[in-house]
Amino acid sequence: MSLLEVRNLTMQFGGLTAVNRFCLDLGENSIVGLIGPNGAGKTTVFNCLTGMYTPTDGDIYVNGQKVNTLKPSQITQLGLARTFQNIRLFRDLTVFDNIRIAFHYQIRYGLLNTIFRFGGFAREEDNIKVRTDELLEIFSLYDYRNELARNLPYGEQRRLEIARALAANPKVLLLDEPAAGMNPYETQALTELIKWVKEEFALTVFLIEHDMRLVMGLCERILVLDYGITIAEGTPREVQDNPAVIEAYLGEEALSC
Amino acid sequence: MKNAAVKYGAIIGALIALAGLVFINYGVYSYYIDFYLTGVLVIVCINIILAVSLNLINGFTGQFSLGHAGFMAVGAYISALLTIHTGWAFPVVLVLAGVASALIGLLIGLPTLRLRGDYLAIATLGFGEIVRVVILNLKITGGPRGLGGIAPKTTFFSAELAAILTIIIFVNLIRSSHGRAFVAIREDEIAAEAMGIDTTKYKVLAFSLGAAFAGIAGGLFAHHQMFIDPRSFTFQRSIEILVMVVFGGLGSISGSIVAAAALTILPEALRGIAQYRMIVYSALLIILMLVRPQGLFGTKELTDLLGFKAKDTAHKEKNQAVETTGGEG
Amino acid sequence: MAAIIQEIIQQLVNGISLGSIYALIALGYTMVYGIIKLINFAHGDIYMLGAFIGFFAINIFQMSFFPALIVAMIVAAFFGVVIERLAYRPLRHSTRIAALITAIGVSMLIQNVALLVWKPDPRSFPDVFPFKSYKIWGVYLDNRQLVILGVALFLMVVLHYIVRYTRMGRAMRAVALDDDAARLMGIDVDRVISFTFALGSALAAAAGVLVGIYYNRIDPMMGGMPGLKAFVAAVLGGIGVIPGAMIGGLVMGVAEVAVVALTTSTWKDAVAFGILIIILLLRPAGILGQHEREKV
Repeated sequence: MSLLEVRNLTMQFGGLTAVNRFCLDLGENSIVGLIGPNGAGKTTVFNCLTGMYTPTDGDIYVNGQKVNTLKPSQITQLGLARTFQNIRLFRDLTVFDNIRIAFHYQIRYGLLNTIFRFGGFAREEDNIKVRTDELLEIFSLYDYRNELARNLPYGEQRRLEIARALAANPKVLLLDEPAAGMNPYETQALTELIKWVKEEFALTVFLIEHDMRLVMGLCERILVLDYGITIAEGTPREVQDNPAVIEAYLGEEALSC
Repeated sequence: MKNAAVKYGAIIGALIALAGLVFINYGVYSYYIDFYLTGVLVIVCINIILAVSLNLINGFTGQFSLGHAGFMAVGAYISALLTIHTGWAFPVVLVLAGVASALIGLLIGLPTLRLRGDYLAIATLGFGEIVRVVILNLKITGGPRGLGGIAPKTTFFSAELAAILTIIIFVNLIRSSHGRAFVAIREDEIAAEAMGIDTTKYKVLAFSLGAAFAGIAGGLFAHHQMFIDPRSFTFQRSIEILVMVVFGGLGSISGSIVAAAALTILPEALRGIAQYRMIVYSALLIILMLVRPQGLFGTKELTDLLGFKAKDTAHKEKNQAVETTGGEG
Repeated sequence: MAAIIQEIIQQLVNGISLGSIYALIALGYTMVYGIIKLINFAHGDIYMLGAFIGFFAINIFQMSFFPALIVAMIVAAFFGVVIERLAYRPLRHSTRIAALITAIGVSMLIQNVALLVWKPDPRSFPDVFPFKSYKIWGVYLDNRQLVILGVALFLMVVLHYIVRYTRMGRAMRAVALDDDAARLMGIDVDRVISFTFALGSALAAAAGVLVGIYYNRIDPMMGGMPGLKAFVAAVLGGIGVIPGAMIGGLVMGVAEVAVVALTTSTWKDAVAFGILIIILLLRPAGILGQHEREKV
């Protein structure tokens, strides 16, 4: 059974069809890219998958369970976590707290326990601290631990968002332009990090990205979206050679190379 | 090292609070503090409960309620009616007042929480006014003539105890994963939802909990004044509570406590120049907002601020360590 | 049957008179909100100031109605500009709640200074239009209602002209849409905001004077409830939308009069806010407002 299955997903805003009959099938421990020109509907796909939008038509299944009408938090709890194109950190909280918050739904103690501090309260809190610090180490953010998220350099903010998503214990990680605004060196480091994280956490990664080096170097399979329609799908090589893709998207770049 | 600083601050804070409590209690029970001043202290305790509970909604969860007096009114009337008609024990009456207010809070919370920011503020303002007008028109509440003959069951001790319990409950709540869920909603609701936090549930929870404690405060108020009427629970009252929260700092419990105490005692101190009292009060409010819009403490707690000194030295040590290693390399 | 219809028309006339006063106040709320996203809580108190200035202009300076109305509008406009300059402008880049609290503070300050200077007792407004009542098809209409309707309608037409057809009006609309872009286009945003406050305050002052002649009494606390209701009217019509404030004001006035006619007057405040909550739940953007989806 596939982890994430999308059948004929369609999203309309008024008369505009932002996404048209989008299909996707993600198996375990795979890594797939979604590319396309600006305004092609990529982020809209993400927003539908994560429950931010309710699709106009089509079905989304996470682990075989239909999630079309679930709230974003419920979908996250089923194992789908994401980052945002326009970084959405808890800006006025520390780096540590940003990650710590994402463990929330895995907490077992109830409201009364927080007041009376019975039983597992301290143990669970300690456990979260340890796991938060682990993530900070993995993402080389430990030095910023007590810094406010807003004060972090841009690249670190992007990394922190990925770390925070991982704290939500996903099976599928959705990354929306993780390398946006990074220099080639940082992008290279990020590519390695995503690769490593995917193996280490046994994740499936689905990512939107404009940086072709990252996409081509990372993804096993690529989907190309243009005006909401999937115009191509295949391995990086197949997609690169696809005339429709070149015309819609890679056209300018192919010419300028 | 940061942890050491926090602990240091917490210990100092606890000691100051304890010393203050002992001092005040000694004053009250040895009659150094007169009857009138003890009454002011009871109001301080009630206002602390109101401010801390509103801070959960407005400060920690980032919602904007302008209807806290409405919840207070529900608690005040329910508890007063229970005392008059049933004669149940005071703590039971208070708890029931809290439960009733919480239910009303739930009722208000569920439909209105889709609204954001200003719209929510106006909806809660409207709710508060509706509660007042309903009370004004009911027979059992005495309508505009008010409800008198409420047994004076609120003592300094019960008010103090209620305030301390409220503070403990809210501090413990905030310093837990559930508390962090509230704060996450304040910081970025969409990101919080994406991290698996059921934001609707927590917003309703914040409203209900805030309402519950406002109801308890209302109960204490009713049994302190012995007489209540709708004029005690106008929009102005909601504003007064809000001002305490903002003055102390949205998201700072110790700020709410200090502000509730200061803003209750200040108008009393200005009573000598009674006619200028409210002018000074409102001018102070404007100046405070212009000079320090984040309030006295911002989102920090008194214990964080007391811990500063230790934190600074810790920071210096660390810097020195870095310099030394730099020198070696 | 005819009696019922007559009664309905009578209440409509009364409601529209009251509603046009709400609409005048609501316009100030909606313009200020549209332009700096601030609920200007002190607006109701500007309306009170306007009533008092009109009162003094007529009583002490022996002016007739229209000059007094104009004086009240000009002085209130000045107050509006000064308040914005001193209290709101420094907070423009601060949090919205800080600005809102400041507005509440300004409102309390004006009320309490007025209470100190003018004393809490209500004063009776000079009788500039000796009461005359006309009966048309069984519906009573008095000369004061005619003055209120006439002045309100005239001011709304003027406002419409200013906002639609003048340079300043165009600048106001530009700043409301996007103040940064407006600034880049060379618009002096500070001046536009000052002008908006002046305009809104003048309309509120006019409403104050009109209420003075309608109810014949004014007091320093008179701004509170009508202020809130006018704000509700602005939300009802779609806050930030100028025609919305007019419609919202009228709906509010008619609804209130209807409730007083059907139940007792003590329920009228609850119904005003009840309508508000229902509207917010069913159509949060108001009657004429556009719903905005938050970008993810």
